[in-house]
Amino acid sequence: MNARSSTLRLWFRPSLLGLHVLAVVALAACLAGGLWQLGAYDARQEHERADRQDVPTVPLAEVWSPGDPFDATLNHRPVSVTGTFGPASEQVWVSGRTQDGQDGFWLLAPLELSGDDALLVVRGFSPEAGEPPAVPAGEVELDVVLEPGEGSSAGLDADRVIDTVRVPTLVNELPYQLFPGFGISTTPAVAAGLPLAVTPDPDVSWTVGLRNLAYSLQWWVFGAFAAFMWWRICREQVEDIQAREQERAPSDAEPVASLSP
Amino acid sequence: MSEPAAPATETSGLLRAYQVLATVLGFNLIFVIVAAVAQRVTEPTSWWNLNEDLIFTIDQVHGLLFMILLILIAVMASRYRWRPSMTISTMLLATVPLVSFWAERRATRAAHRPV
Repeated sequence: MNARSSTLRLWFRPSLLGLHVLAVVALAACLAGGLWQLGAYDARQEHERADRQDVPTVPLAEVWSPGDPFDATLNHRPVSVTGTFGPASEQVWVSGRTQDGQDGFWLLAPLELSGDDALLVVRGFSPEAGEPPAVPAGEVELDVVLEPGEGSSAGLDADRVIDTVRVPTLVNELPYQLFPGFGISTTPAVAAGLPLAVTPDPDVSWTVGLRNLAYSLQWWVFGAFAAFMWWRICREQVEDIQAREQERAPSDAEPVASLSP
Repeated sequence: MSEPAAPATETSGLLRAYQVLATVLGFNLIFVIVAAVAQRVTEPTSWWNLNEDLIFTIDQVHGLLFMILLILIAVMASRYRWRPSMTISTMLLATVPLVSFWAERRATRAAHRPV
């Protein structure tokens, strides 16, 4: 043997092999843990996305009953509704809408579903708020995308223009029990010739399932820590051995405390 | 023949920090485990389930403190020239309720031993 064993050889001493195995196992476990949590994050994102757009259109009554609050699973949900539009004079323009770079209004109309219950429906988009167009006569069936009611409003003005779709405000103006949310129609037949209002981007925020994403990063940080510890322990062991060999002690009779079994 | 240990004041500072953190974490760990079990076995209206958010925050704090503990153990292992098995077992035993206290005592004894 040379005066000093080659460093490489020392790294593969039998006493260090256990450490190498442990490091591989720990790294594999951390990698798997990270992938598992990343998968959980993807699944949550996918689930959320499905909740928003990739679900089949079902009749409104299957997902929402009069009197129920608007819960998160209803957000952006496509449903079909059957009902009768209230008189054209009950329609409302919602200001402050932008579509294709054009400022304009939503045409909002109450759709009477059953009894007193009505759903506010955005029929279409118009650059100007004039005389409200006529409503389709009789019972109609249309598809809408459900949206939660909007925030504070300055109220309905004399021209029947309101700045937000705030249901508690509109409930005082219309003779119906309104659902606490509204639908954006995707049925051109009821749009009175107007372009359909664009439904909001159903983008899923990257923060949905953030906890799983953080956990997966954590696993990888642990893996990096395990790799660092492995490297450091091995290096210290090798250095200790080299130091002992350099000292050229008469024998190994005096073991270094930290290396004794 | 053995090399002198690191300066005494610095050493005791590191050891002290480890002892305090390990002890705090030992109790914290017992709470985390008890809370996790209690949340599963008690009814939804129990204190454990009503204070889910508080318990989740405590769990997260525990996790962060534990990472600091691992770093302290790694520094100690290097300074006191611990055997790899000592380092690894000290890290692992810190995750076992009650046993973590014994692991801290053992690590303290090892740190007091001359290098």
